Amino acid sequence: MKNQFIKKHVYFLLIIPLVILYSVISLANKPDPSAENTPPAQDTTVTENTVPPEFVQPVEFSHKTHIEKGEIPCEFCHIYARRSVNSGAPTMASCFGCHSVVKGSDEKLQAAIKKLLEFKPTGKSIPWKKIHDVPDFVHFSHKRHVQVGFDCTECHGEISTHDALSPLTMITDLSMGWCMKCHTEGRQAFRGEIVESIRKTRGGKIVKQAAAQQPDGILLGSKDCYTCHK
Amino acid sequence: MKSNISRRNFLKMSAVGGATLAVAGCGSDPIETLFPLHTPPYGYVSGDSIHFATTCQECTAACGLVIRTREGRAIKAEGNPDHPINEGRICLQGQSILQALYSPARATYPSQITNKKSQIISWDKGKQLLADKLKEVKDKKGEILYLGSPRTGTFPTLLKQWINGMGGGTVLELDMKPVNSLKHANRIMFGKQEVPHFALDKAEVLINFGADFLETWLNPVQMTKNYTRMHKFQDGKKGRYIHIAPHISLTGTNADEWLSCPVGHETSIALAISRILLNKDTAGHLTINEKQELKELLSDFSEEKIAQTSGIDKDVLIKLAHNFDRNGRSLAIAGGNCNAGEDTTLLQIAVNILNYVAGNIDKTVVFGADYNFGGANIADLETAVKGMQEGRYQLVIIENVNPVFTLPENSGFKKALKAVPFVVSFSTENDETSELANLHLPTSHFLESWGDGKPRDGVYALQQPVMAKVPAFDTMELGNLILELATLAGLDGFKSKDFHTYLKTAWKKLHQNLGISSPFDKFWKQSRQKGGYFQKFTHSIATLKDEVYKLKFLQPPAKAAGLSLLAVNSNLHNANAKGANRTWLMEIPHPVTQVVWDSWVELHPDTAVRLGIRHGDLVEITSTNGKVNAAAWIFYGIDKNTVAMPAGMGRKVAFPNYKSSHGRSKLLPVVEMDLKIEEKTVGINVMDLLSWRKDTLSGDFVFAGENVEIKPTGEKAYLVTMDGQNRKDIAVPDIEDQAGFGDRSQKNRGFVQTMALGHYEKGHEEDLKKHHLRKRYYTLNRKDKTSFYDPIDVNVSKAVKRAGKETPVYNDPYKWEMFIDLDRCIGCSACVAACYAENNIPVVGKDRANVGREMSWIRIERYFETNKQTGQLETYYTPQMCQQCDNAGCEPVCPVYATYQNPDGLNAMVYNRCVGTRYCSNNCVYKQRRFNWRSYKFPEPLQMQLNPAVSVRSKGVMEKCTFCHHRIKEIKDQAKDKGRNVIDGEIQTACQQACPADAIVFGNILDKNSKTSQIKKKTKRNYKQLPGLNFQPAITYLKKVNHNNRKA
Repeated sequence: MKNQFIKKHVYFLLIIPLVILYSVISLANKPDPSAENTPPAQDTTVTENTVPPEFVQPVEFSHKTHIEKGEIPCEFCHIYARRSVNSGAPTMASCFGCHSVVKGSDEKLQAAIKKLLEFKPTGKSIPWKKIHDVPDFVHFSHKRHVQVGFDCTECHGEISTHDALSPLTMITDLSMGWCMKCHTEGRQAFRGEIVESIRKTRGGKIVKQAAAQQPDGILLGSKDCYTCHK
Repeated sequence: MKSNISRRNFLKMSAVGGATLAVAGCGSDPIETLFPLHTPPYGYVSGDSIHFATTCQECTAACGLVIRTREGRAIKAEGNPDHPINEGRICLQGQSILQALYSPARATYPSQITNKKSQIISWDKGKQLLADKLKEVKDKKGEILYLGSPRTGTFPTLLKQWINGMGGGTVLELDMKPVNSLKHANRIMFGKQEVPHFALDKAEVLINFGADFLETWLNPVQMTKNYTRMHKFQDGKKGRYIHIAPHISLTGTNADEWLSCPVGHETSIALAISRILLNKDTAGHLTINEKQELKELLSDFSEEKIAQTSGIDKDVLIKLAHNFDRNGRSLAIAGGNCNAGEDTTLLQIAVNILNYVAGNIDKTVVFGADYNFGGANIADLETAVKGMQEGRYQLVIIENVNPVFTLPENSGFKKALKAVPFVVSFSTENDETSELANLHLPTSHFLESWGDGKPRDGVYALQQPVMAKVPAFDTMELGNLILELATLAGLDGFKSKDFHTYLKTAWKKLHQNLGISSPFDKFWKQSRQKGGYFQKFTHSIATLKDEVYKLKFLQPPAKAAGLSLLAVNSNLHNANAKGANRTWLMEIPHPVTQVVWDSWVELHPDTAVRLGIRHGDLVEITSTNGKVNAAAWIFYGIDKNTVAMPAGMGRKVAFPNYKSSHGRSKLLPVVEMDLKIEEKTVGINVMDLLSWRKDTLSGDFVFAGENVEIKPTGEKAYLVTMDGQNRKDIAVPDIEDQAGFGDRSQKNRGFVQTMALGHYEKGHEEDLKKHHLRKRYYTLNRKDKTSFYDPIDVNVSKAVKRAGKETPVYNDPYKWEMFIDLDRCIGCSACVAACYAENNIPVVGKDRANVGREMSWIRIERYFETNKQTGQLETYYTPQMCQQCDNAGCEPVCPVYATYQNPDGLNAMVYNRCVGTRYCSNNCVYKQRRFNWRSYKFPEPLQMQLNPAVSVRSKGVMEKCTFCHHRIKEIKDQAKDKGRNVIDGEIQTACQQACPADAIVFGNILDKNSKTSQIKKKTKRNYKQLPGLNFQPAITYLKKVNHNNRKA
């Protein structure tokens, strides 16, 4: 009887070790399953200590300090956001610009700034870890979104409350479903109006029976896959 | 009990297995590193392209370039629209310069070679070593030989001064596309040692004696532009082009008529035509004396006699002459390898006489332009080789030329070079010549250096670095190296700290000489933006010199016993062999033969049958100089006693870095077990067969007429052609076709359609009834002409109805369509190279190309059609790419919606959705989809050329032409920034941008004023491919217009 069972289920039995092997391999390959499975934290009181080790930046950098203490607007450093697809990590030169004067108020900050300034003579750049990252096959355009009146915080969250960014501080996983939510349903523009130049190229003027024009204040994005995937 | 797996168990298992796989497959994205720029260049915007104007140094045509750079890397080469020579277009080879810039074959470090061992040294040591040597040579009163690539502008002046300062020597410019015969003929005939401007656009009839002016001869891009202006169909008219030569290459296949003649008979034919014109009494512009003298000179060349020797009918010659007599609106040209015999200068003079008699001088042949083409003549090189052997030269410097490879063995160059005590190479790439050098100081590529050029009178082209030096290579700019060596060797008069300063000083002088009113700084800035300073040239009147009457024209050679070999250039390979290690140029099929990754020998079918050779046989070609094996390629477009082989193939160290860990090349064909890759070549070097011969008057190298014998080896060659005929399973054996060439026609599918000139006004519907191609098309008659998709307004009204109220709509008012004018397309394949560069298309190599795994998104399809009226074969070309159908076959069969109709009317292909079922490919009637069977590697540092705007595809993904969707997106984005819609002409696809014949028009069909809409409205030549299937493609082809329903 047993023999028969084995005979009957021989293929099934063979596959079991394979299944186990696969699971082991797949688990081993994952950088950190806990980070993967944890839903994006809504809690804004995350401290530096909770940053997963693989996301610890080579130079201690605090968005909070720069925004709150320095009162620096986002586009002061991320200068390309309004005119290019990339927001652009600030160039080393722009870091050095301020930090040749600003030396830091306490020892910890001074140490970090010193570490930054060590890069100056080498001509090398800081290898930042990317936090808000979309896959390589996604060609997201910052300028399109900034120009219609989006605020940076709408996608990136209240950056000013975090010292160090990590996947835990993200308010969204930047998944396609999250993008498409706005693109299909439409949403209120940040200040209740669409920027003039964009309004000119939109709307039902061309198409009879549709709204005479895209109603002011509602943003409607392209649903074409080709917009981002190319 | 049968231990058989039941369906139920199978499903159970696959469910478990599938789930595990799904879990295993969903690993998180790797964490990416973000490197900000250290110090951004002025005006830099991350994610935006910056364009730099510069000058191409691939050949002496010196076309203007605009290089597109992203994040400081050059990613695409395009023509400079402001440049008067190439007017915004560049050739196939020009497109491939990025593969030279990022070539894995480039020399990485300065190196010293002692006892055949290469040793990396520092630049300081290298420079010092050479400076010491230079001083030593100067002290010993030895001479220097500098063998460089041909250059114009400031650098030659510097070099001359430098050589003189170093104790004297010889500077030779080596170019295997010599035009000395042309210059020499003009000196004898008109007293002007120059290459004139050939105004093809002003001619109505063009007679070409074998010059490959659409491929490599002189400046092919300008020639193509002007040729199209003359030969395009407009207002019911088009020019006529007659090709008289032993061989039709790409250029010849575009002719309206081809008159085949044996090698070396062109001169006598030209003279015979001149004689007919002289006797016609219409040549009123000649003086009585001139007429008398010329008649006497040509008395030996009666049409009867020439008809007998050349085999061209007497009546044909007379008709041709009458046709040519257009009161200055015709043109005859000759040149190129096909004509490069021992009497090339005489041929050029004969052509000059023909032009003179027809009144074309100063009308279509315009002097005063003084084009700077070509290099030193072979006679000078011969003297130099002798000098090397006899110890006259103590030091030889070789810069970016490869004479060991490009000169035939019996030139004695290699042997002579070994006799020289010290050889220095300044070459950018490692090549056969730099291998023999004692010291290799690699100079930067021209895209990384300063320089200038003067391609013709009035064109001052500036060459500026478009990017910092490629990090992988430790090189130095040539100009800087020369200046630093001068300082190290203690020469006076070299004050400039670098070549940039030197150049600027020279341009300051130019600024003064030209008398430009604006200040120099402004002039310099403008020149850098526009790519130089451009003026028109001043015409100079040419008068006939008496010297010509003293010439003795030889009678055409008697029929030789063997076969005459032609070493021909094409736009992929030429005798300078510069592109012979660029993978694009290997992978792109040769337009006529469609051969990839190989050499071949072209044979006339009758010759092949006589010798017992079938198409694709491996044959042995023997000349007095050597013996090679090559594949036979049967072609109607060659004289019966002539065979042709491509020049510039067979580089031995073509792909040094392409080796994988197994010692096998990823790109080269299968390498036999006991053969090293270094020994494997792509094709064979035709120079191994040629003798060291030169034209008697001008000293140009002889490429034509080497006597060879051909015999079959009994083996089949591994020849890969991309025209689909190598598939034995589908090839229909034809008993009558003894040459085994097969049927390479369109098989009645009507991809290329033609119409006769003169029937245009009646509308082509009517014309079709009489047309000889009419019966050939598939008559699949589908009644249903409906589209899968509603027009946008219908779509919206349905949505409104459903919602019960007005709804906001996101709508871009675009539908992209393309028109391809087959009457303009010459098949040059520049579009194919542009597509490779723009869309990160991988190169797959010979083996995979053989099994149909080539990845090119656009290809030039070539068909040999039998003309039913004449019974002759005719060559037709058509660019084929994704037709972006409205009712596409690919879309409904995709199980994962990876391909769909986008609102702009494109067949979108979303790579990340694709699971690789390949259903779409099977269902595409145009065969335009390409599947990634591998994750193809881009060998370092070629990956730096990749366009960041386009995703790099990996294994298991389908891909195809996107109409350069990323370009559309970019321009749309820019238009939105400005709050307007896209203006017509703003978006250019890569293929359209590259096309020197302007055959491709792309635009928005919803815009009533766009060029595409206008063509759609006005043309009567439009047709879609395979219309019966109701795929409703977005590409409309315009019919080829033929004179008398026939062409070459």
